[in-house]
Amino acid sequence: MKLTRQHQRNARLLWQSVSVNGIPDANRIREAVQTVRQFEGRSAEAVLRCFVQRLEVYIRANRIGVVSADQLSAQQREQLSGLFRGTEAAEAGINFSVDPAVIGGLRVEKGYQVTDLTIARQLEILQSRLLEK
Amino acid sequence: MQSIVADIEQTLAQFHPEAHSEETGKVMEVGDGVARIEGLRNIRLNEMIDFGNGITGLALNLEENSVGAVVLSDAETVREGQTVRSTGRLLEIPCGRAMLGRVVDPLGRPLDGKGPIDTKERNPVERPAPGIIGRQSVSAPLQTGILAIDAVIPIGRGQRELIIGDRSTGKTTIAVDAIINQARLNREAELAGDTKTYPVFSVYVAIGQRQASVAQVVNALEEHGALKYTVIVAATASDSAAMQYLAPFSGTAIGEWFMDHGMDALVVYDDLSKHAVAYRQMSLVLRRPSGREAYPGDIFYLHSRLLERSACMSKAHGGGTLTSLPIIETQTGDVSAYIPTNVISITDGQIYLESDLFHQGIRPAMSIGISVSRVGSAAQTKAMKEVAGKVKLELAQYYEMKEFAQFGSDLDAKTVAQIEHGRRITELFKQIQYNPFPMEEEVIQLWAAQQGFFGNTPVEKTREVRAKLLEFVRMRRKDLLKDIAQQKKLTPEIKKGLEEVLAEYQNLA
Repeated sequence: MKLTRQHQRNARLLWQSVSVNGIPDANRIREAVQTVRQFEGRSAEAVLRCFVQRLEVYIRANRIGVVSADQLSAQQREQLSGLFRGTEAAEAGINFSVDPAVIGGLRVEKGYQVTDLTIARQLEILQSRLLEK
Repeated sequence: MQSIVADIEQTLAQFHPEAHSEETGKVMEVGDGVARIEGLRNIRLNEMIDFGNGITGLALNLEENSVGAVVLSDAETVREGQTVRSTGRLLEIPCGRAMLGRVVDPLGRPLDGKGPIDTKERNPVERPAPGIIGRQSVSAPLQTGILAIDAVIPIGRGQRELIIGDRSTGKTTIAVDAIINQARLNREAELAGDTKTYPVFSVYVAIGQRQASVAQVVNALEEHGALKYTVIVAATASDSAAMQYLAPFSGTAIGEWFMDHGMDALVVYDDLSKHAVAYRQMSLVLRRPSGREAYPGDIFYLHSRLLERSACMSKAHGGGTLTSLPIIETQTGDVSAYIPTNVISITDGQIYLESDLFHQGIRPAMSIGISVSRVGSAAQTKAMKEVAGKVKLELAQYYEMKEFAQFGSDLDAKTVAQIEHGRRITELFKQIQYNPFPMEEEVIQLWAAQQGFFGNTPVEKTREVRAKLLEFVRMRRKDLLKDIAQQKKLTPEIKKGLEEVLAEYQNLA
C-alpha cells in the first residue's frame, strides 16, 4: 500500500488530537482508532497505518532499557526502577537485558538518549583518543 | 616505540571515566550510500554521524521522525538495526601548509602514499561566505601566463571566472597552466628573496573524473615543479556521489585557510557539471523533490554558496584572497542549459572555449566574442592595459571583416590591413600547453604587434618570429624585462628601450 503525503498529514492531525501536552493518551488513542475504522476504504487504512508507525516510533523513543554484563539482582533492579518512578516511560516497565560484550558497568537507555557507563564504551573512548594522537 | 608507549601512558593518566549522556539512533534502512536513521532528535544539519568502526556519515535530511544521512565510506558495512551516534561536530578537513604537495580525498585522507599529513589545523567543510564588510574590490591581477586570457579576459585575485566549453576543448589545460604559472611566480619570488610578492597557492579539485586523468594532472604539475605549491582533492568517478558532492567544499575549505592567513589561493573545480550530477543522484536517493532535469530545487544555491566563498578580503581582515576557476562542460556548445546558465550567472565572467576553434588549431580555443571578465580589468597592470586595450576591439572587427570578406574579393586596403592584423593577433594568441608566459613577455609581444612588428612576417611564421624575438630580448635586454616586471607600466624609457631592441632585432634578421 502506498502511503502518500496526504495520509501522513492526516495521521499527524490524528496524533495531535490524541495527545495531551505532547503525550499521547491511551483512551483517546482507542477512541480515535475506533472512529477511523468506521470509515471503509484504503485511505482510512493508510491513515491508520501511518498513525501506528508514529505510535511505534513514540514507544521506541520513550522506552527505558538497562543493559549490564551480568544478571542484576532484584534489589539492584528495584533501585534502578526507583530512579524512573513517576515518569510516563516507567509505566511501560523497564527492560533489563544482559550483554556480556559491555564487559562491566551499566548502559541506561531512555529511547535514543543513552548514558553509557560500561567498560566497553570507556575503552572505545580511550581508543579514539589514542588514535587522534 | 618509546614515544608511542609514552603517548599511551599520558592518555591513560589523563583519562577519567565519566558518565555523559549521548544521543543515538538506529539505522532503519540503508542503500545506495544513504542511511535512514531513527532517533538523533537533536542532530544539526551537516553534522557528522559516527557509524562505528571509523565509518562516518553526514546528516543531510532532517525529517519529523527520521534522519537521512549519506555514508562517507564503506557503506556496505553499515547494517540495518545498527546503533549510530551523533558527534556534535560539523564535517572538518585538515588544512595548512602541510597539505601542499599532497593528493587527498574530500575528507582530507592522503591518497598519494606519502604517509600521514602532519597538521593540527582544521577548517569546516561548510562555512558561510565572508560578509560584505570584510571584502574589498578585486585589485591585484592573477597572472595565468596565457596571453589571450591575460590580455583580453584578465582575472583578478578573488575573482570567480568560469571556464566553459564542450569536452576536449582544453578547459583543464587552461586551469593547469594557470596553476603552473602561479608556481613559477612563487618560485621566482623565493629565489629572488622577494618578500613583497604574495605567493598564490593552488587547490585543484577533481570531481567525477577518471583516475587516469587525475594522475595525468598530478604528473604534469610535478613535472613543472608546481605540485609543491598545490593541493589536489580528488573524488574520482569510482568514488560515491557523496564524496563527489563534498569535494569542492573540501577544496574551498583548504583554500580558505590560506585566505584566512592573509595569503592568496586559487581553487580550480574540475568540473561543476559532474558535481551537479552527483548532487542530483544523492538528492534522488534521499527522496528530495526533483525539479528541472531532475535536479533538486536547491541546485543553484549549492553552487552559489560554494562560489560565494571566494573573496578578496580587505587589509583590515587579513587581505587574503581566494580565486575560483570553476569548470563547466557543455553538450554540443549549449551554454543555455540549466547548470551552465546557473554558474554563468554566479561567476564574474566566463572563458568560453569552442570546439571549432580547437579543431582549427587555435589553442586555447577561446571565443573572444562570448568570453568576458566582469571585474578583472580593474586588476590589470598598467603595462598590460596599455598594450591590450585595443586588442579586443581589433579582434571583434577582424572576425566581422573575416565573415564579410568571404563574400567578395575586392577589399579596400584598410580592410585588408585590419584582417591581416587580426590574423597575426590570433596567431600570437596560440600558445602551447604548459608553457605560460611571464607578464613582461606578454607585454612585449603585444607592444610589438601594436607597433606593426609582425606586419611583414608571414602569418604562419608569426609564432616562430615571436619565439625568436623573446629569446633575443632575454639575451640582450634582460633589464627591460626586469623593468616591466617591477614597474608594471610602460614608462617613456621602457618604450624607448623596446623600440631600440625591436630595431636591433630587425637589423640582425
